[in-house]
Amino acid sequence: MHAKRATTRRQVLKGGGAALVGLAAGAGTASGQTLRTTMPDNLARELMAYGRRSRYVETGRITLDNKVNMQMHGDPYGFDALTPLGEQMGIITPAPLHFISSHGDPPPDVDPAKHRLMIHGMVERPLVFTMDELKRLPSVSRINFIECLANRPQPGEERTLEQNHGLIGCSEWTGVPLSLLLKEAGVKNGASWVVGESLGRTQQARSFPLGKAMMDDTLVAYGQNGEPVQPHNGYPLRLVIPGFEGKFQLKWLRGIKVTDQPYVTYWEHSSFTRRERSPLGAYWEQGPKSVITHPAGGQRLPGHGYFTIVGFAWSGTGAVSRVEVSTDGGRTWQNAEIEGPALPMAMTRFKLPWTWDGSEAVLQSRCIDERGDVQPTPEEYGAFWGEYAAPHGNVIQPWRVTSVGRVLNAL
Amino acid sequence: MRCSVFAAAIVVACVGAVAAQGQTYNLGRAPTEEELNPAGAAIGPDGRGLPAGSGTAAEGALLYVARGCSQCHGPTGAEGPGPHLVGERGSGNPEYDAFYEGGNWQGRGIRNFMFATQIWSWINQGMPLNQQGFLTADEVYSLTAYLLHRNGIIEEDDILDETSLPQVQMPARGAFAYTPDHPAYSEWKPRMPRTRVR
Repeated sequence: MHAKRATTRRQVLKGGGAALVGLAAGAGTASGQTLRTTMPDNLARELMAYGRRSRYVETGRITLDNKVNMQMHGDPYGFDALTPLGEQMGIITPAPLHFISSHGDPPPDVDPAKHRLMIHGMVERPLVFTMDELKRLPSVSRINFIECLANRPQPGEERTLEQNHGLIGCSEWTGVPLSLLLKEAGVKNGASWVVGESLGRTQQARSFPLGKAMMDDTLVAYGQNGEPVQPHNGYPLRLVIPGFEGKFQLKWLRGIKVTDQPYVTYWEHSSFTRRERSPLGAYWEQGPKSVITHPAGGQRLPGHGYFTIVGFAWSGTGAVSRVEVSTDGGRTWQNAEIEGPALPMAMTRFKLPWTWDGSEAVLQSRCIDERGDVQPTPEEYGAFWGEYAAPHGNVIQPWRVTSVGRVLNAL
Repeated sequence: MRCSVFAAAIVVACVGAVAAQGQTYNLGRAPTEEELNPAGAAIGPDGRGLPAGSGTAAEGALLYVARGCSQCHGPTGAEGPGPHLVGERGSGNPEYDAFYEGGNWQGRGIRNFMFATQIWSWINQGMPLNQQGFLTADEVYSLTAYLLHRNGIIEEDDILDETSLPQVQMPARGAFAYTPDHPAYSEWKPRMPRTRVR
C-alpha cells in the first residue's frame, strides 16, 4: 500500500501537467493522500510577519447592499454585514468576521498616538487619558457577545441562518473597566447616567445607566481577540457593555460624560421604543436566545445519516445553564451537551447527536439561562410584547429539513 | 470593647470611602476649557451645555439652501433623496416605507423626535455629512427652527435659543416608552422585565 502511493507520487513529479490531472483525480481515490505542494517562497516569507488564512478558505461577512438596507440607516452610507455564523468554530468570532452595523459612520482613521479619552460631566476631576495611559492601567480580558438589537428571526422560508441571526459576534475584549476610570475621576452624588461619545463622522452618543457602568464588566476596550480592536469594530477604543444591546456599545470612543439624565439621543430612541410596540420599552439586555447553526436555514444536507446538531446559545443577563433541542417540531426536547466554556454574556456552544432518517424534520433549540429565564416561543413573545415582532426578538428558531435535505426557515 | 471595635470599623470604613474618592493611579490630566466644551458636544433633553446663540425659521429657510441642506433633502425638505425632513413619512421610497410599516419608522420624520434638543444636536454633530463643524451655533438654531416650523411645531417668528429650544414640546413626546423620567430607566438593575417573557 505504501509502496503504491510512493510510486504514484513519483510518477506525478515526473509527469508534469498531464500528471497533475491524474493527481487531482488521485485525491479523490482510496489513497486519501493530501497533496504536498507548497506556498510560494515570497508569500510564505511575507506571511511570517502577519499571517493570513489559506487561499482555500473564503468565509466572509455577508454584506447587505440592497437598496432597502442601504437606506435603512437614513443615508447612503449605512450598511450591515453579517457574521457567517454557520462557519464559526468555537465561541470566538474572528475579528474580521465580527458583524458590522454602520449607522452612517465609516470607520474614522485614528492615529492612536493622538487619540484621547475624556471622562467628564458630573465628576470631581475631569480627566483626559492617552492610549498609553489607558494601557498602563490594570487591564481586564473578558469574552462577551455583542448583538445588534435588530438581530431577530423573521418569517420567510428562504431566510438563511445569517439573515435571521447574523448580527452577533463574540470576542475576547481587553481593556480597562469603565468603573475604574469613573472612580479615578470621582463620580459626584446625584449622578445616575453615563453618556458615551464617539468620534465617528456623525459624533454619535449613547446613554446608559451608571449602575451598569459601575459594574466591573463594562469595559473601555482596546483589544479584540488578542490584537487591537479592528477599525470597523471601534479602533482604537470602544465600549463593551456585556449583555446590553449592541447600539449602546459605542465604537470609536472619545468621551464618557457622567450625567443625571439619559440623553435619549437620536439612535437611542429612533425606531426602537415606540410605546405601541413595547409598553415597557426597556431595551437593555438581550434576552436568552439560541439558534442551531447546523443544520440551519440556507444549508443543504448531502444525504441521510449521522449529523451533529450544533448551535449557539447566549443570554444578556448571565451564563447559559442549559440548552434543549427538539428534532420533532417541539413535541419532545432533549438536553444538548454544552461544549466548551459557558461564560456570562458570551456565546456558548451546544451540540446533540442526530441521525437523519431522510424524512422531513423540524429542528429547534431553546436556551435556559442561569436565572432560569427561558427563550420564548413566538406565541409567548407575542403575548408579552404585542403582535409586532419588535427588534430584540429572541424567539425560538425552527428549521425545517425537507426530504431532499434542504433546510428552510420554519418561522 | 466590642463597641470600640465597631466604632473603629466605622472609622476605617469612612476613611476607605474617602480614599475611594481620590485617584489611585494618578494617570491622566485635567482637560482644557476647549476640550471640556467641544463644538460637537452631546446635548441632553434639558439643553444643558447648549451654546449661546439664536435663530428663527426665516433665517433657517435661507440657510437651508445656502448651506447645501437642500442638495440631499430636497428643495423644501420633503423631496429627498436624503431622509425627508418634512411630513410624517420617512422616505418617500415605497419599498422602504413598506419595509418599515408604511413609512412609520420614526427615525426619519422631524415630528417623531422626542425632544427638540435632539434635532439641534443631530444637526450640530452630524450635518452636513462630511462637513461637521461647518455650521455656527446660530445657524444650527436657525435650521432647527426652520425644520420645526415646516413641520408645524413652532411659529415662523419664534426665536430659538439655548433657553427656548429645550422648552419646545414635540408631538411624539408621549409615543415613546423610553423616557428619562420613567423609573424603569433611572433605577436599572440587572435583568429588566424584557428578558422575562415567560
